[in-house]
Amino acid sequence: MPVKTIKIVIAGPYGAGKTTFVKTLSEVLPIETDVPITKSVTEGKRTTTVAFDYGRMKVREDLVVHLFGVPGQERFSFMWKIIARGMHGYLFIIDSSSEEKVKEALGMYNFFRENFPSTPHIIAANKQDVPTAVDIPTIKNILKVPYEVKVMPLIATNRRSALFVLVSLLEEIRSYLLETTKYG
Amino acid sequence: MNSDIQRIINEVRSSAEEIISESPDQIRAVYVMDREGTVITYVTNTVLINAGSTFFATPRFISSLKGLVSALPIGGINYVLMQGIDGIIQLMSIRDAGYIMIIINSEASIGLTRIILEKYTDRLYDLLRKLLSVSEEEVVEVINVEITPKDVEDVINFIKSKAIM
Repeated sequence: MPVKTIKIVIAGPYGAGKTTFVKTLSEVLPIETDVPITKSVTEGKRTTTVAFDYGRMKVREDLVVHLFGVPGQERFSFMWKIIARGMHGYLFIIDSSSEEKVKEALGMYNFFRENFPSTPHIIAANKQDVPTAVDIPTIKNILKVPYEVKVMPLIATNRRSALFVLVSLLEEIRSYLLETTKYG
Repeated sequence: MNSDIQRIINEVRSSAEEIISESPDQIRAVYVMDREGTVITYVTNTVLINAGSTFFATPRFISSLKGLVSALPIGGINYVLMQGIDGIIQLMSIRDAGYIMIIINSEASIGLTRIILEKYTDRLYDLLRKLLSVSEEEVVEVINVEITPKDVEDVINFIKSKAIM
């Protein structure tokens, strides 16, 4: 039985809270981290180990969710495209504790928008519990977020908040699949 | 990050630093890019206000150039010289592996810097080829079995069952 894989990428600049987000989720959900991904030998694929932030959640015998964190540093940008290849959706986490931090995310966000224009995604504005946090309309304005893309508040250390954001992204992916099935 | 990848990136960066050191009074910045213009490393020897935005703009720059060149009867991009008010860009292809771009101060040094770029092309070519092959091997190819809306719904329900939302 072929195993279906839903690939979700967690993107965002260095220090935005990507690793914290996956760590918080793994406290609630049965996400395995720090385990090698292997390709099935029976399907003629070689075994490969991935060296990136990574989590895997088994939903059914034939359905798993892979969470890939991309390294936020600019010097690894050439890897972003490779890691993101074949993804079903991505969560773009930003540090929203100040306008300067939000502006720092603009280049990387544009990179993803340009390279993956039709991939479902949402933006998670992390650190919304900080008193100086930037409000959502201002974030939309700074990042020039298309009107159809959701920008959601996030506190990556908060389980409820992290789960809510993940479910929202999955709902976006589901809507996208429904649309493409309808018109495809 | 895989140590092989990190090592190769460091070597690419060392080459970029060497290029700047060949003519530090003329060369302001060096960018080494892959075939699509994604910057693998960049080095500046002065404070360039736009160094970061140039970093993210290069994929668009290369893509636009490719679009332009495809409409002209001159083949692929080997070498581009672009003069602006505040500096000059020299872009050279590293065969089929990527591009090297430098920002220089004046047109007087164009000839010299072009010779410098050509000197480093072979070394950068070898490094970029290695980098591409290592990074391709290291990343999982997701098995392409079609996902349905029902699958995603199952994931949502699974998550909700594990945690009270």
